[in-house]
Amino acid sequence: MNLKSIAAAALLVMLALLPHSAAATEIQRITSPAGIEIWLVEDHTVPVISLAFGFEGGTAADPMGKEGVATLASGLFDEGAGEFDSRAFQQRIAELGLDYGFTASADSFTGGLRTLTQNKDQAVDLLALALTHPRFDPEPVERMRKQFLISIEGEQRDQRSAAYRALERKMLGDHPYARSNYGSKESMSALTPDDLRLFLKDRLTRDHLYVAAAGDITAADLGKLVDRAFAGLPATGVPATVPEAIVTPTGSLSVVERDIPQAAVLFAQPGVKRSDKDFFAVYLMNYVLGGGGFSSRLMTELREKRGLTYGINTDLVTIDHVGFLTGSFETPNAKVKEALDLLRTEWQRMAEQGPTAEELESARTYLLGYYPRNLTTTSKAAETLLGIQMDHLGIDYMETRRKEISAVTIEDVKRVAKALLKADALTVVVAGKPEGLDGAELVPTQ
Amino acid sequence: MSQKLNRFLRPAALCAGLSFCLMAPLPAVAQMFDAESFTLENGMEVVVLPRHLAPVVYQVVVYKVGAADGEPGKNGIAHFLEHLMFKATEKMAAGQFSQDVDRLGGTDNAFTNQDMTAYHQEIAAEHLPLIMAAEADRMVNLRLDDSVVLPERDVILNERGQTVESDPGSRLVEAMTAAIYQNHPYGLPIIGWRHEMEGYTTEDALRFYRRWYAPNNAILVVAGDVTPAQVKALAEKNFGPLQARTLPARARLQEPPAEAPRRLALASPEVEHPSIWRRYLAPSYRTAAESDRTAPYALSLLSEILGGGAVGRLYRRLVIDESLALSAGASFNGDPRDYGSFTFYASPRDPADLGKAEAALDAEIALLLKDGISEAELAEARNRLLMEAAKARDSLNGPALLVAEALASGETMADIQAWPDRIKAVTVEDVMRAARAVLREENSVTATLTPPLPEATEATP
Repeated sequence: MNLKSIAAAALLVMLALLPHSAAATEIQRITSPAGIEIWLVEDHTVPVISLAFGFEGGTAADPMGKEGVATLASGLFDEGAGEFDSRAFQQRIAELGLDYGFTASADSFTGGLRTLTQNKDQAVDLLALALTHPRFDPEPVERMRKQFLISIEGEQRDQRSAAYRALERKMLGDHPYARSNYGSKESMSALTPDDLRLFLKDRLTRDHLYVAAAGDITAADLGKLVDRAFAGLPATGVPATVPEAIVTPTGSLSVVERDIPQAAVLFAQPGVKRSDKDFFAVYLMNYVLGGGGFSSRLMTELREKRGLTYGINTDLVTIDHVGFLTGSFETPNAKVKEALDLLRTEWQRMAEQGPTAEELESARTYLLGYYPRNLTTTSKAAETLLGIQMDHLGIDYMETRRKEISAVTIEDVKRVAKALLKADALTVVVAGKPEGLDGAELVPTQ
Repeated sequence: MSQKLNRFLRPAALCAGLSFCLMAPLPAVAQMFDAESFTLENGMEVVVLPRHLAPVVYQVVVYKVGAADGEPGKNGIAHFLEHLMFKATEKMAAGQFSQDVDRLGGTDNAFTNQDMTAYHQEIAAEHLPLIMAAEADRMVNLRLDDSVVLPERDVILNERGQTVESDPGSRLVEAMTAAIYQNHPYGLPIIGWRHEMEGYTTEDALRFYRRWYAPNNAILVVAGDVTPAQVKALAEKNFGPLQARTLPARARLQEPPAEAPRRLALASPEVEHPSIWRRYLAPSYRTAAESDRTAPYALSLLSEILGGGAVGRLYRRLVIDESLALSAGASFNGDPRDYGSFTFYASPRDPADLGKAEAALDAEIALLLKDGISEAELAEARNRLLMEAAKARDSLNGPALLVAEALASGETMADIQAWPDRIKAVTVEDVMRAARAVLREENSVTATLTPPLPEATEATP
């Protein structure tokens, strides 16, 4: 898992939090002729169709010694399939004007396809060919491998990534979630086309598949289109198994030494999982504390009142087997101590007093009013539906979550704030040359 | 290239390096946008782009003033004022507008580039009256004093520290920009130089505000689940009563003829992998109207032929055929008011091959100028740009920002609407004429971004 997957996870959380609006967009549930379930938002005003699809199992399920295989695979589905070599395949994508790509994140392997309506059949034929007959020719495999190896170096060199990797190792120990999505230099270097084929055989199967669509297509046509894309996949694969992760409340302060004028500060502590009955109470609490942008207490105290930082943000990250609160900001080296003291003060104040009634209502109306903004393009709408499906939140989720958010009381939020937030248990990693931090341990450079 | 500065970057949107900052903009197209436009009596232009997929609206107010309209010694004040526009007015407390938008599930932000300053919100359609009233209020009623201005000055200094000084790619862009302009203020950074930023005062910001912020210097664009009639009524109610002002002329220094190519090298331990950049000054959509009107359209097609993702000439030859580069491409930016630019880049697969990568770029440019392009290449590039344009409608804020920025740069709605037709009309001769006019050595800056030289690292114990 890295910064990108955290961002993706945070996005999925946001997707999962879509409030329901009175004029809700209608979601249709369709079963294709071959038996694939699809969720659809139909809209014919622009001649564009977006498909979003995902397979359960991501980088955290990469086998031992094969770390990085899901990521390498994600880079190779536009690099040659069937009779098309890499160059011919890219030519085909360009001729059809497709937006097309795959992402390997911690718990899932997802893809997206956006096409003009007129090219929809050719578009899904190309997708089907890539999923069932990828070539994995030596030239593109070596080229993508080299790119990911450079990304691994970059994660170590970039101060923000280096600090995040250190934070994950502190919190999660040797759990797969603390690994890079790219794997290690050694594992990425050793992956073979057979490893990639095994990944396809185990993971990219219909029992792991979820599909959503939005745009210029009817339910009947969509069923045929989706079968054209996915009916050729194997029916069953091997389930992805990932152990539960424990977040250690370390209370530690570490420094990744870098000769830069402005330090990057990252922090985290245990949170709750998506399945926790208090999920929304914690989510609302986090919004008031640091998740709510310019409305949050931390932004007010650090940026608006004191100009200590350009921005501070906290997130409740929930992925399949763990939940944690994390955040970050940047500030000049000389100001790190002052900013960290303020952070801890606000953390403790929230633990002791919780939010005010007014703060809670603002957070609640934000969540309730946010929903339709996830549906402003066909690709966003399809991704939103996919996120709800993959989190098993139910087709009526937009209704149920509205009820759940509305039911959270201020006592609930005070209770979870008190139980969860521990200022002295925060794991803090600073990249830079911070001044005045007594007792900080140095993170060895890899 | 990151040619705008946002008031606040959400962590996921942080620009991680030069490569992400240099993504080509979506092709400018509006023929099929179903836009409706009108002008208020006080001179404020209004454009409405209805889109009903979700019950949401997107509003942007853009002022025709940017970093390049600053005063000598106070460069960057346009961006500082952008931050201060979120402070108090006679009716609203500091930060109140953003908090109201948040509370209703919306989002707001602002950005400044060399030519314009824009403020934008996305929110459930029913709240359009609220955001329009607040935007009209701060156009004329801003109140500033040292108690809010001085902490915000620290914020922008931190912004500079975070987005420029901690990022070697951004530092290189700043140096390249300073080098390619010999006289025009586009050579100065949008955010300002640190030593000048440290001296900004409340009076500096207020003077700039009073000089440039007025309805006759602003454009309102609203997209989404709304009708032109609704927007017209709201705009007349909120912006209509505001008085027009006499505006200063935008008299900017012009570039002299270039005599010699420029060259820069930046080495930094934070650089993951070396890269080479070459930028040429080019006409913009606005300035081309006075010389070769087809040039920016021809250069858009040329950038697609050379740098169109994985099928462009540069990627195919340098990355695939020769296995020399990890990435390679080209992009054209014709949006600025006074000068456009045409940029090439490459990153070698083996860090030792940076010189070879540059030689390969040079060879491609020479080949282009010698042998030209084929009719088939032009037809494919045209087809790809027109498909991108068709897909651009599948967005709420994309078309609105595109229209706002084009109008603020001095284009007209007719120009925007004619974009696909003008792309279709470009011939092979048009492309080669534009290429020969722009791709001249003396018209360029070349920059390399590398990790520290081997000698330097060996000196470390």
